[in-house]
Amino acid sequence: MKTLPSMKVTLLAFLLVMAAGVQGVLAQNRGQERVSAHPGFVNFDTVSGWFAQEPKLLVNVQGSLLRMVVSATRQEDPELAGMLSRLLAVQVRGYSLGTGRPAVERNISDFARQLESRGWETVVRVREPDQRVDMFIQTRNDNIMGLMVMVVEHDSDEAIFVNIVGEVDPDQIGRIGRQFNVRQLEGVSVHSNRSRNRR
Amino acid sequence: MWPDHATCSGDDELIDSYLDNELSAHERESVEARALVDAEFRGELAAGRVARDVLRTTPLLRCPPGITSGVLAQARQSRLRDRLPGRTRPQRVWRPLLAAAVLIGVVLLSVVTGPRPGTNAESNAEVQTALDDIRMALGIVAGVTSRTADIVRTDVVEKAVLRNLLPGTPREEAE
Repeated sequence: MKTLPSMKVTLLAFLLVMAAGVQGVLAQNRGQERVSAHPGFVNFDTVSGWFAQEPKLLVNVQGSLLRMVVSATRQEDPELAGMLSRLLAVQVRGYSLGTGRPAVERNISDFARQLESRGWETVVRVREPDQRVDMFIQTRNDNIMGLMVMVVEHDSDEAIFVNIVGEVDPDQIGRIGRQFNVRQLEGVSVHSNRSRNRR
Repeated sequence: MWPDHATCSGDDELIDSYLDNELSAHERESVEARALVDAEFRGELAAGRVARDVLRTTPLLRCPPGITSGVLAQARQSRLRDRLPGRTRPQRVWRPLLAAAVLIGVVLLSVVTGPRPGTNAESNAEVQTALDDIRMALGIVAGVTSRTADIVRTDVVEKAVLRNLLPGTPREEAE
């Protein structure tokens, strides 16, 4: 028959196990809530409502995966790792436009106004015959806390949305981004059909 | 007349009292007088006497030392268990629940903190893909800023410079 002291030990072990498990779940939820509550976060649910089809390109890198990327690049590319370590999430969506391009462009204009009303500042607005680009930044105390880019490419008939959540240095992004052989937007194509969603 | 308690149902008690010398002299005489006339009673009296003699000649068995304290200790433990039912009996009731709860806790912990499905190679591939995705996102942003810089340079700066170099150039022509 089990004695009272051993019963206490079992109970204590059980409580510790449960506490650790609950702590892990809560930490995961807290991390997710932390990203969505961040001023630099943009909810892409609104964007996905504009398109009848699923995104051809879907990237959600945040949380543990983002930390693993930081660890993996620390030796190889310290500057990139340093920049990524200050980020909370990187989100990308890519859609084919098809015949819905005018409606999408109208939605983008409306969405741009919504972003501005929520404190986002327009830093780039390009209206070219073959392309329209909108870039926004969200600032807090002179620090850029988020960056949002919306691009519509007429030639390739694609729309691409990028949201970088966290402390962003545009100069650093430009400097690092240019290393990846993306010449203007030529290297970007939603035809890669990659879909990733890992938190 | 026999004593009041010398009835048939009380013969055994009467005989026991007689054999144990617990009767008065008068009662003893009554018993002995009855034994003279009542054969059955006389037989019972003789059997009782034999039984008494046998018991008296049987050797006494002594209790082993410590048996009294052992019995008392056991009685005390039993009484303690009865007084503390919440700390003893529920122990058995809780045991399966506790085992189930520990199992759930271990499973939960392994889900939260345990290794992700897949091999290290898969994890490395996943990290590499995520890195590529991030690079692609940074490339898009860099491309936007680069293209914007080009537009500003060609459409704004260069035309302004041209206007300054050729003051007579109409604004529309310069642009």
